[in-house]
Amino acid sequence: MFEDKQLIWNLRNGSPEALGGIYEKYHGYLLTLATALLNDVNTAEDAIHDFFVSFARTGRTLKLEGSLKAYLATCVANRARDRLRAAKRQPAGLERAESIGSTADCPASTAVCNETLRQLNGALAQLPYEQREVVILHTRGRMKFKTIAAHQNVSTQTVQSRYRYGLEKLRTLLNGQVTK
Amino acid sequence: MKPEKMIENLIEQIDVTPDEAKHRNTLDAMLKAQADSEPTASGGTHLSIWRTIMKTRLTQFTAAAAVLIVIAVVATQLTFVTPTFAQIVEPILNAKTIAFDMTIGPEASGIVMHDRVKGSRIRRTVSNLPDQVMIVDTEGSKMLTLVEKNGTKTATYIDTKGPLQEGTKNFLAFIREVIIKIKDHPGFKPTSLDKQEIDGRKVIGYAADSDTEHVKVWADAETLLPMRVELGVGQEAYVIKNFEFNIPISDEEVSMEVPGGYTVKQSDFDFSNITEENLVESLRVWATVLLDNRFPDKLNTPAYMDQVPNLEQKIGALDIPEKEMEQMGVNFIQGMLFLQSFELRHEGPWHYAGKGAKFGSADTPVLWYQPAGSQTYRVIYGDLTIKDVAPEDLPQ
Repeated sequence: MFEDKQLIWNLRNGSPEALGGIYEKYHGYLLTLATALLNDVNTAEDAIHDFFVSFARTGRTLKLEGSLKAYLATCVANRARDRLRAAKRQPAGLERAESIGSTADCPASTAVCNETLRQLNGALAQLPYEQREVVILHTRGRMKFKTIAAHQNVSTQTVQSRYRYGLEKLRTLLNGQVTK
Repeated sequence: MKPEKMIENLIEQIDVTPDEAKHRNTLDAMLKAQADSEPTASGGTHLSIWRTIMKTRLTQFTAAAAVLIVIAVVATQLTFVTPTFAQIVEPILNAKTIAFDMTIGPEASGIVMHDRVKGSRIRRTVSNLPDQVMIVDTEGSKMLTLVEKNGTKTATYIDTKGPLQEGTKNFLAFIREVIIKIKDHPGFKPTSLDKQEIDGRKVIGYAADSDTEHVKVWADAETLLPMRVELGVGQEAYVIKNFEFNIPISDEEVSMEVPGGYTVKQSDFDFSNITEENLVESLRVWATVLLDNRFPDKLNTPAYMDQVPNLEQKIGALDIPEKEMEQMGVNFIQGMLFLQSFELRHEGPWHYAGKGAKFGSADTPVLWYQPAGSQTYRVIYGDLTIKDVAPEDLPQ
């Protein structure tokens, strides 16, 4: 938190090191979120690229009320939503599935683990977007329901319901595949 | 494990490896976009010279202001810590070292000071002064600032004698002295707050108020370690959190010896006599340099500290001798110190009414306060003239 405050201060003073620092710190996290939301790594990378270029232009005027991490995640989620709207289609599938993997030690072999994750991505893609967004932002993005509610412009209760429905549907879609 | 929990675990494991070429491309495009959006420096070479000269000096003053804030905390603890509080303050009493973050102003957007305290020494960093480390020797009334910027390392000793000296004797020892002193004083009963969660942990809290101070202290319900202190002193607000007790802090971290590679300078700043004149000159800088002939909406520590980076640019763009530039910067920060010390001395009420006021307006009262022992108020008007006014004649 303290480090983020420093980065923001420096960014507002036009520091390229601060901009680079924010990028290096959160790029991987945001790319993972965007990929999970868009279910397409290439589209996600484009969204992240566009976002950071825009962020670089406006960094001097950045006024932040909450955490930097939540702010960035919200901005990227907005970008992802815009891209899906523009495409007017549900994502077709992973184009670079090999780049999706596990952050943690997988108890089984990596291949099995990554296969499970690919199935998960397929299931996530079948969720209504609002549910998928809540599930990903809360679970992978570690964002609070309250913050997601503000982003989606709905009540916290609605977000919690979307989360429950989303998980339930994932459970149904992955029935028998997530049994470890 | 429930299937939902397994799914959550799986989602947490999702990770994407960035494509290195795209990663580099984004980084380059981003830095170019930032460079293209840079405002043109109207001060040119003049501004560069100004920055070189002033950066260290201004930030030294800001650092000194931070020292005053410490006094505020200590003074408030003197007033409010009570016997019912004993368990919660126990770690403070017994800790050999403490570290914490203090936010000045609104928690989400305020400036954060990080303090590491060992005995009478404090190692301090401030979020809007990223190039600087301050070592405060509260017992010896000295501060060492270490600034590393653009490959230049400068060390400056600042004398903190005067109003700072008494309040910053021995930080930990002073707090302990105060707490022990009031442990046997049952006269004050703070309000117990409802249990709630902070950062995922259940906490218990106490609140206490007086005419000018408000304090809430939250502690972990299980360990009783202090987790968060919300403090209002007059018109200033602070949040202290991320406490760490008995952490290793080496003597080198809080040493007043200048590390190798630094050029040492002796500061001639004088904190011993900050006056009303400093406040007036500070208001002049606000109105004529920082803002377009108007006074700021708010006049408090966060507002001042927020302007320090802007101050360098704005003053640097003026076509005046460097000596005048420097004095202007010094006046600005001393005005903040005057207001802070005024709060801390618990002198009569003061009020800022400058929001929307135009500089030069002789009929518009901008700020008034009651000096210690005075029957009348000092009223500062928009043209920066001052009059003594009876309480009943104060602006409504």
